[in-house]
Amino acid sequence: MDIQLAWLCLTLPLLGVLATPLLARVGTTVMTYGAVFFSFLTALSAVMMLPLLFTADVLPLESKILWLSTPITVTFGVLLDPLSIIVANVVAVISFFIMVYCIGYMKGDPAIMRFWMLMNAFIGSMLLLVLADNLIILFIGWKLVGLCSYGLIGFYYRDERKYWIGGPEPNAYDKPSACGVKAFIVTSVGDMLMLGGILIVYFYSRTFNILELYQTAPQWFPLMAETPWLIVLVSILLIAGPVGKSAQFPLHEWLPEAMSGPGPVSALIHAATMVKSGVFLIARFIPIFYYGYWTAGVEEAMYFFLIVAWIGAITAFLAASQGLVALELKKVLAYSTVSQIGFMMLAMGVAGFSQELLVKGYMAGTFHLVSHAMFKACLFLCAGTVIHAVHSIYIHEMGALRKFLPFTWLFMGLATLSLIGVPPLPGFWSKEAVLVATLESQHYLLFTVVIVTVVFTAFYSTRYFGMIFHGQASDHLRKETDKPHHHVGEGYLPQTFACGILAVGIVTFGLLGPKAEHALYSLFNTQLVTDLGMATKTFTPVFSTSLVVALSIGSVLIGVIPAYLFYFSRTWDVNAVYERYAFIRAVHTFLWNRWYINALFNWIFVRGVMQAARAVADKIEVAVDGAINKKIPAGVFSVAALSNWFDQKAIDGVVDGTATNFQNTGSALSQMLSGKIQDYLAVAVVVAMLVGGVTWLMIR
Amino acid sequence: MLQADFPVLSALIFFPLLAAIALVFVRKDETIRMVTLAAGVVECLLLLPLLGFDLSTADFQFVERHVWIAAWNIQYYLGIDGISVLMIVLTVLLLPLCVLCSWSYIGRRVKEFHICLLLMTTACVGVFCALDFVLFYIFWEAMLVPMFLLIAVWGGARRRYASIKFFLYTLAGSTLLLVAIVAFFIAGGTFSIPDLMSQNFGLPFQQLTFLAMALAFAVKVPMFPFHTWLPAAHVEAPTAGSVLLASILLKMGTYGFLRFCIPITPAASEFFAPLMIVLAVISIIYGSFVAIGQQDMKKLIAYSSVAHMGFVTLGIFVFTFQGIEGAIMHMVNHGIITGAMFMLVGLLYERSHSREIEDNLGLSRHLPIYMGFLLLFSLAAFGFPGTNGFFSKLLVLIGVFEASYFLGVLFIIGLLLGLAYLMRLLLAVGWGTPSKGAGWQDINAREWAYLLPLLAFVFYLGLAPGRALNIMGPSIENLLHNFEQHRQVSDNASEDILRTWRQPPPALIDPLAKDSPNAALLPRTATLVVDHAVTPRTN
Repeated sequence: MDIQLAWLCLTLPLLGVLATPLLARVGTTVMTYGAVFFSFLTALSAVMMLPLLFTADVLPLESKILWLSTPITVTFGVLLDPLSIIVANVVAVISFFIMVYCIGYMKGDPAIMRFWMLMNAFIGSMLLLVLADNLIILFIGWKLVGLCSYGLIGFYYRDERKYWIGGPEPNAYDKPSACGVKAFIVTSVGDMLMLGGILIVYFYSRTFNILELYQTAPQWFPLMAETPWLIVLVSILLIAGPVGKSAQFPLHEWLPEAMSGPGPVSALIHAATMVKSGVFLIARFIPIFYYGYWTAGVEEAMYFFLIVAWIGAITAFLAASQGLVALELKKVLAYSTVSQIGFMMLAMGVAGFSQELLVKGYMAGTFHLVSHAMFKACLFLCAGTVIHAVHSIYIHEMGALRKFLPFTWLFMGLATLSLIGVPPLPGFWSKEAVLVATLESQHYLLFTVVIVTVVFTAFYSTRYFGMIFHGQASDHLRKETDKPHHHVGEGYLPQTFACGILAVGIVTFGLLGPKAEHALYSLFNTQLVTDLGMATKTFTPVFSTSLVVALSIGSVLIGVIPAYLFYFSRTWDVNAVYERYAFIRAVHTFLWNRWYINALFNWIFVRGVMQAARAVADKIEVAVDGAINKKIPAGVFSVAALSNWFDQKAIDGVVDGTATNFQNTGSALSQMLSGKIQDYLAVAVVVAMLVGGVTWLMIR
Repeated sequence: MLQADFPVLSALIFFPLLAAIALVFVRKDETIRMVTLAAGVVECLLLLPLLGFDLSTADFQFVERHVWIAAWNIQYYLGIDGISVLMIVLTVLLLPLCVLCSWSYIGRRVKEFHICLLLMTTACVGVFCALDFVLFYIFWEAMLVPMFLLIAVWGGARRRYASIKFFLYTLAGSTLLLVAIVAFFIAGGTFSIPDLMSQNFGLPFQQLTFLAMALAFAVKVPMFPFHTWLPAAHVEAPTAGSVLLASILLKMGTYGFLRFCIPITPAASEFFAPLMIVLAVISIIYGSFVAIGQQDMKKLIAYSSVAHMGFVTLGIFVFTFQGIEGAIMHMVNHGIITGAMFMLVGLLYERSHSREIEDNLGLSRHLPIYMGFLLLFSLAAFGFPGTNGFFSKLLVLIGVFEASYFLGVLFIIGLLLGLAYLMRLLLAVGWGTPSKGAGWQDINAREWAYLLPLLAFVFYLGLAPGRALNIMGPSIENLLHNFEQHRQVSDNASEDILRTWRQPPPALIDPLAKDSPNAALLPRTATLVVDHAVTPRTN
């Protein structure tokens, strides 16, 4: 029965997709509850897998059917191990609550059927990705979530003015349809490179199966290492996929634009689940490269971990710095998501730095994944409610909303505290784990970057929260509330309920934090050391825990206090500071323009490619056409014309007018098009004779 | 149950011809369409005996072999193997769909149009069945005429230019093919393709004949730089013409590589593989790049065909099992997907009377079902998992990666460029502010009828590619096995041929007579004929 639960997790959402159009015929309400019901069943099956974690000697479980036997063996199967069960639960359970939220949020949308179908399709694909037992199926799930993401980002594909993001005036706006395309293309760059990496691995290992890859690593990994730099190439290719999907530097620029989808979509796909799949996949690859470096002694395998760790740290810092100045609520959260995923990546990278840290880093990354999924989902759902209530996507058009949205204030406050890393909320524990792992790796530069990021995180979190709920109401908000029947208030009941449940979950998980950490540690210890036989060493901390706690809380305070004074109590005036210091203004512009990375990429890959393509199409293609189509026939044709001319002259003594035309080779095309096919036949035969003659000479 | 000696292939080839003759006597336009459609359906039913195709052998099956012109050793020799059978199925299945998609578009010279369609089918099936070079060449050339007429008579504004360009390009190529055929006959003494496969020609001879054949096929594929006839022809051709052109005609080029170049001239294939690979890669990157810059939807798809066929050629010339399986799968898949894409553009043209992207913006509001089809076929063209494009591209990619990582990376860049032009098309035509399409009718029943089967194939081959792959498996294994053995010319091979040539001829024997000695004598008997034709030479 245990493994069937995994199959249920895959089939139930699919059934949900298929049932939605049928239920829509009965009625919209039936369809809505039907769709949510299927996601409930999915979540239930996922939760029922949890006991497996605590049953000894059951995992890993695998079940597969043969899909394709020649010329490559592809099985369709599921794999249950601690990692996949944990992530599958995060996906299934959080998506269920988000679906509940959608009952309220999407009420009355004309395209609601498409919405439910895409949502269930997304859940199914995501679970396929997580539960897949081989890399091809994983890749299929990987592409499918990308497709659903594309559909949901561009959900408002008609680009009505109210769904534009970006701005405010005079800054440029982005339309949802274009945002979806951007996300799809940018992530596909990573996907395709990753496929290349998978195929190189397949070339050496002859298997796509994940467990077999682990088990046969002693055979194929040293083989692969014989080609210099190949491991590095494979590392880069394999990391490219997660980098694209998890919006890490340098493929991180799609996520802010992905916020053009409906609010809960951002919560589900672009915060809680899909963007985590990169971290998940890195975790899947870790045993291979860990084996390569620490057991097989392949030096190059370390690059995998170095690249992952540095990409994580750079992204964490980069995105958090952009979050400091962003004005769109969902974009702040998006930058925050990118930054937090950077933390997870960092932890995963650090896992390979020493034998002591493997389980620690692996656990820290996954732990942060789980806790972040909870509080970020809650944050986005609350943000959806706030944006809906205020009719504005900008935080500077909010302010003093606490009295209008008391529940949302509470829930979002809890989630924000968790994001900042205030004990005893889950964000504190998981961030703590990441910090410990980083510090113990003794890469102090990485640690410094992370600590600075913690300061940034505290600052921007306090900033947006203060700007939304505290201080004074903005002009826009006053205008809204002055309307006689204004809607500035809590959303529908399912919305508040879902946020509340998630908030309760955050608090509970936070209180259980240390226990959860311990449980995860022992689970991954079993998976990595006992089952996969990774050569690890017992973790002996060099630095005391209290040092890390002190550093963490200290940096949180450094971030929170100024932000409090600026945005809560408003004792300090932001605008005055901004006006006074040119340096601040320069930094602001730099951060506001996202370090100019977006502009640069846009300039190279969008405008550049389009212009180059136009140039190729208009210039080179014409030239090629001319060369092949005009010059060769013209050359051949003038021979024919010459003979024609000769013929006519010899017989009639008359030079007819056409002959002179052939002196101009450029006009030969028009001659060619005059329809004298017989001439061409003649030419063709001449050519054939020439070639035939040469052939004949050769074989003679 | 059909009898074992029922001429399945002949029936498939000549039934459309009979139908075309019958069509001459039909008067009303509607009736003509109905009759052709019925003929197409019957032709599809004639495919049923092919279900008896034996999956375990690489030999030619459903063989029909009769002496045709005994003096020249020309035979009426038909047979199919795993490489050709799928192409035949594709060709035949497209016939009724082509009739359906031209139902309202073709308003004048209806009879002639449908006769052309039927003749095309005859010639195309013939090309894929023929195992005698002369027979093959006849079908190969016969195909040009109806295609030329389809473009020249029912085409767009510049149809004269396009049709003549098409005709000249392909004719120039086929003339070279004829040279190669004659050369094979001179050297090998037979027109029988299976017999030629078992001969070892010397390397210089192989190289020359390879070049002659490859040029003919490269024009057909088309490979850079011989591709410029394709956009012109596609843009001007009526929808059915574009469909046949993209789905069937282009495949003949790559089919030619597989059927003739690699088995008959293996050493030369090996020798010229780098050249072919370079051209294929250029086709992929360049074709995609030009497609990105297009404003005309048909041109965009035409250039995407150049890129797709580059994938196929690349898959063939890396000489790996996966690569060739993927290549053949992709030939079929590209036929389905691009055929459907042209149909979609065609039915949009019937509504907007323009193929420009600018004139068909933001359609999804008014034509949601149309957009659904366009989205699905575009995803299939990109090779999205679950659609047929995925496995074929994956297999080619695996094959390419086995040959070279560098090529693999170029392939991936090509895929991404492919994504770019498809997304650009979708974004412009589908999404965004609805600006066009008000009052246009969404997909009607007839259009459903020809799009749905193609979509079914997209998903069938995407979700269960195993059967199709099994069909071609043994033939490809055999092909590669022979290729491995003969990729290096044996030292005395070249000499052997010369010796054969110079031997005094034995007595004339009818090669197919019951009491004829074994096939080893075949070359020499034929040499006799040739030696009389040329002046005797001194040593």
